[in-house]
Amino acid sequence: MKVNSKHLSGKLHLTGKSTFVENIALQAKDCLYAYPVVSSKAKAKIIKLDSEASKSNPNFKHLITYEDIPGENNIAHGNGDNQPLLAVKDVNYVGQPIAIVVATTLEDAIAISRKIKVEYEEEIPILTVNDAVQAKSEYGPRRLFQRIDSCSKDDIRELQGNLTIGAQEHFYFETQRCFVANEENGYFTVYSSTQAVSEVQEVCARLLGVSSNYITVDVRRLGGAFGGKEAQATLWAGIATIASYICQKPVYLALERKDDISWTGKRHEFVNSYKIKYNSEGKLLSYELDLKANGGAYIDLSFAILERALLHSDSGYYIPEMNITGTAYRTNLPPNTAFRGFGAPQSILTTELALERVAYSLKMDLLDIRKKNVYQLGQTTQYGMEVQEALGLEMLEDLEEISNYQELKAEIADFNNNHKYRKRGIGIVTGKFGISFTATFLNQGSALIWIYSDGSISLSHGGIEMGQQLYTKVATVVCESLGITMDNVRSESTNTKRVGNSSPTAASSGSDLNGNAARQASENLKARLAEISLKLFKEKYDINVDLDDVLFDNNLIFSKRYIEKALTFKELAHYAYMNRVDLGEHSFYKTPLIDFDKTTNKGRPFYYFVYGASLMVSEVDILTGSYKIDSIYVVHDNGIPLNAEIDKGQIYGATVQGLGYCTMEEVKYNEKGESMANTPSTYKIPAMSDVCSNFLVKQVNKERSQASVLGSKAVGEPPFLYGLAGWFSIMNAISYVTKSPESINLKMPATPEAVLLAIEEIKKRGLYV
Amino acid sequence: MQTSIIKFVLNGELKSLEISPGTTLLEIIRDSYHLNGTKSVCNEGDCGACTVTLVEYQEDKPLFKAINSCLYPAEKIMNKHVITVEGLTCKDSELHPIQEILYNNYSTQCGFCTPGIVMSIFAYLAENSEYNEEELREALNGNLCRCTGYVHIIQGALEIINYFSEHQDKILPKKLLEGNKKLADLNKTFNLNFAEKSQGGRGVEGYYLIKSLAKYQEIIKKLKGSGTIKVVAGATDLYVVGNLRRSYFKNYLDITYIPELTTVKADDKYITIGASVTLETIRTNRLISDKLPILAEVVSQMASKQIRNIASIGGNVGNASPVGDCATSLIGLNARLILFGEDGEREVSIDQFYKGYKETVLKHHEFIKEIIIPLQDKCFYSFEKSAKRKTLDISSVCSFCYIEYDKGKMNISRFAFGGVAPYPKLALSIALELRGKSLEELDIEYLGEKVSQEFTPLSDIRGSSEYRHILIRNHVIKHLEKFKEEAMNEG
Ligand SMILES: Cc1cc2nc3c(=O)[nH]c(=O)nc-3n(C[C@H](O)[C@H](O)[C@H](O)COP(=O)(O)OP(=O)(O)OC[C@H]3O[C@@H](n4cnc5c(N)ncnc54)[C@H](O)[C@@H]3O)c2cc1C
Ligand code: FES
Ligand code: FES
Repeated sequence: MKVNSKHLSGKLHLTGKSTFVENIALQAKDCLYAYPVVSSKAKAKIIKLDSEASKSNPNFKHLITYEDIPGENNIAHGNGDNQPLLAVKDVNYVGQPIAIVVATTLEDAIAISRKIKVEYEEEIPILTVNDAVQAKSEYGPRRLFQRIDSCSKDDIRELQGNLTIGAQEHFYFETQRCFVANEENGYFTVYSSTQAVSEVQEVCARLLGVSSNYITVDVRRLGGAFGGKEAQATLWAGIATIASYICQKPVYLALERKDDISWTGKRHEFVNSYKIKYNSEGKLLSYELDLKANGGAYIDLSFAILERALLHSDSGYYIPEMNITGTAYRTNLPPNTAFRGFGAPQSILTTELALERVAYSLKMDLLDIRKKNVYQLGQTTQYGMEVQEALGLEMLEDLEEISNYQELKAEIADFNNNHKYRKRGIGIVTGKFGISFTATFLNQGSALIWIYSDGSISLSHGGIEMGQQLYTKVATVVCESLGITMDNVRSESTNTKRVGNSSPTAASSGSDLNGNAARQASENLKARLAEISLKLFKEKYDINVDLDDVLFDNNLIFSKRYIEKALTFKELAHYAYMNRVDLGEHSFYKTPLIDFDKTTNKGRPFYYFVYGASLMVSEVDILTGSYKIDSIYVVHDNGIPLNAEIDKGQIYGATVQGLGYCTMEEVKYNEKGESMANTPSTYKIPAMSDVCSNFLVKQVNKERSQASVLGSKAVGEPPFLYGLAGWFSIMNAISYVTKSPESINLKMPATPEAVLLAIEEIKKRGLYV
Repeated sequence: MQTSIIKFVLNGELKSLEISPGTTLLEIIRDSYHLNGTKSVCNEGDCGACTVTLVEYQEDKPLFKAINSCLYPAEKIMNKHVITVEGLTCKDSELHPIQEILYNNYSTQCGFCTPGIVMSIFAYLAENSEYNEEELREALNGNLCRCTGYVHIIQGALEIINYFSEHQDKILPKKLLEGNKKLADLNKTFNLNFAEKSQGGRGVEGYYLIKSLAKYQEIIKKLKGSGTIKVVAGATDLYVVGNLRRSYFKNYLDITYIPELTTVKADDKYITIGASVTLETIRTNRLISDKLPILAEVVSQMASKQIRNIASIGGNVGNASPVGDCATSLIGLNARLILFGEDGEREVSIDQFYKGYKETVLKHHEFIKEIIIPLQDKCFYSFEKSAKRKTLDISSVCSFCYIEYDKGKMNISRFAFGGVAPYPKLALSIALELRGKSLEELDIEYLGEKVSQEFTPLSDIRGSSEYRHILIRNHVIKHLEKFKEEAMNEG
């Protein structure tokens, strides 16, 4: 039975009735409010904390410092770093929490926290990658990925360049927040807006110096996350938990937008340089790439992000010789963190740029050069993984077709001939995104299903619902397996009591890990139900049914031979209960085949790849540098989607987020390390007006030899790459006003200012035509 | 003693509530009525998650508009009907057709922007009797969404306007219709002459809704010496400062209810716009689109529908922002300002209005009453705005060009720039250069360069000095290229 459900939370969202953390907090009696006092310096010693200001406010309750933390003052998780919840002697970024103010209203907590004075002895901060390189402020040694295949050395040309790629703010709509309820015996329930319940649980227990079973973490849903709540929700959950412990009251904390943008980590800024060798036919021969990531003040997920960047430095292309190096640096910015794509966009963009320049220097077609270099079956990647399914060419051919590429090209050339100050351009990006956590142990998922004796179902798993409709997809898997309709299933909040040791909902793995676990649980339950059904068929209809013949469909159980003599799911469940059949099931899934050696940087880090390609057309105003995207074409390798329309929504959303990343989204810090673009009036994300009507997505829904639950493929992150075509389309438009397109110096992101300055540079260098 | 209790209708029901001055409507909705469907996301008018619909009666007709409740002074809901997302349905399981269609189109993902989007669509439907895609998008440009990439939202919204073109009667559920009736009755028993004083937590002592110029004078006399007074119109500037910096004034004097300030008048020579006329009125007003369509064009590039519905043109001039789009355009248009205060009226040319960064010739008790714009027959207007994003963004540089011409020769011209100096400013050199010249004599590049030399713009978050220099030059080129084309077309 194919279930095609709408968003399970859709009606609640549309009527404003869905429960977020804030709704839980608002129901609490006697709730107190916490807000952090944070560092205003990027690097300093703390001399004194003056709490005088708090005393004059009648609503003030507590001021909490590191000394009040009963357990270990460390929130780092699984990365060997030591990141204090509350600063002790030093502060290492603007926004680092130093103390916690607790008051009876949120407004008072905020007001007091802003008035509390901290005296510092300032030191010189490291803010940029260049500063960090000079200071040798590295997080661990440089990593090298190398693969040397033999290739013809005739006719070699060479190009080199570098690219600084700006950071990106998550701008989840619901800011970081957490509500903590204190319970008997020193237990706490933490309602955190987090993608990683088990991590929050472990860290809160550590802070309190208790074992993990003292802490329950419960998450109904998040108002957006995009990676920004994978590691970074933990800090705020920790603060609320400590406050609740000290005050012995429920405590709520929610960041103001400006503080959230200023104080939390971003997608990593990368400073990349490359050297590429190729022949006159546009075959890539050798590629050297060096990646330098600005990790911020604590390591957070920087190792893993750098690793994924290194693993994606091939983009979708086979290059016989690869020498890829990467280093993450410690700086005095908020710790940079996970963001949809997780390092891959930064290296893919650079590689696509190198390729693009090769095409420009050879005057080659932008699509042809890609077709020529995509992976073919059986070739290996720079980390020694054999490509067992090579779909790059198929994606590009589909793209050519849906975009009417040849006509489009002619139209654009024609338009550009007829317009002096307006130029159009085409940008193409090939996507190949590896699916699995590169930390192999995280590739595990669990689900817990109860069939109650009335046939209704309670479904729990370790995944977080954050808008991607994971709950809908996992419930779909259960329904398809048990042959029931969605209205029978309640998707429970994600709760560490029901499902423990869960991996963060990240790396696009949510439906693969949790869906597979839930499917296993459903199949086990189904087997038990099928078995007991034989008895009921006999009792009720006096028929003998073969176990192999039992079918579950549309809330009914029947056999092929006696279609009319069906049992309802409800009656079978009740019968099973009366016959003492276990109607609860916990199941576990671990991704097979994967294995990656981090010392040799070889192995199979990914279970499979998701492929895709995109093409965008933009029109640039040469006089102002402003532009609009005129059309967007996307081809996406979807497998057999669990829910095609939900996946399409992910493709649209990720593409636009990627487009924002490479066009208008500009993170800025001043020389003091203070965040400058920290409100939506200065940090711009795409609005509806930035999304053109001509946005065509072709989902290639085919059975693939390598896919996951019920033939589906992960969809969360890969489509982010499609947005990057926007940047290349702008560069391509600019190429029409220069004699030397391969030397266009366009910043990333390509804000109107960056575009105008790139054009001005062309003029200054006398290359304008 | 005057009280601070106001009466209004909320989702169909009559309410009365004591309001502490300086409170926003969003706070009232969420804290006093626990209607948490309306979300707080940015608190500065830039995301639309807090959008609600307001209804007020004008000449016996209910007028609907979407606003950002986070920037709306709570006092102003007096005599209005506030509709939040909770107001669209009566029973728990029920969906409004808007919601039903969005649901079927997968238009929501994380759900945090969703109620705001529903309310913008609702207001658009209720406000108009005919629908089209362009205006629908216009109504939604102020609603950001980080999850969906908008496509499923637009798809749903288009289906919605199709549906309601046939089913206008289904827009307003019964309880809201009844609410509008209650509102109509309420109007008769209440007047706007309301001022209140009670100690609020933010140090705001009073928010005065002022009904006439005489009343204004009376109040400032009374308040003399009792601390700061601040004229407020749409509050889209002032309440951003309040929300983000927690910086408030002691007394707010709301001038949006004074009749003289809310009208648009025109004769052959002048168009006169009351200072409190909203930007959205300017965008849609008949007189303006007949006589001075360029102004509607300027305004249509500003902010969002929700902001334009409350922001005033007087506020845009009065806040003395270096980059006000209207202010810059009005300089180009050679507008005159009628100021009003303690001692009555006086008139200044807008050229003389600004003195420095955020500094004007206004005395502390004065405000702009009207803006008078001269109309010319044979002239060319053009406006350019350069910003990071096409909609809902502040200019990096904006400019307005005005050229009078006759028989192929240019006469008087004015080029005004925003974002290049401490306040919006006229370029001086170019007017002389153009005077008496014909099109063929123009060296456009040279002129652009020359104007650019005249300014020394600063670098800030909206652009570097270098970028702004180039923009000045190229804006001049764009204006003159447009002019050339227009003049050539006219022969
Ligand atoms: C999301 C958002 C987007 C915006 N986009 C734009 C944009 O695109 N372009 C742009 O130019 N601006 C923009 N603004 C700025 C601002 O909203 C406008 O300038 C608006 O016109 C201000 O009008 P108001 O009535 O809301 O002013 P208020 O906030 O009420 O007042 C602003 C200032 O002007 C003074 N003032 C108000 N009325 C008068 C008067 N009649 N006489 C003298 N002084 C007066 C007040 O005392 C105060 O100092 C935006 C603001 C927001 C929040
Ligand atoms: S909360 Fe963002 S516009 Fe009001
Ligand atoms: S659905 Fe998440 S912000 Fe719109």
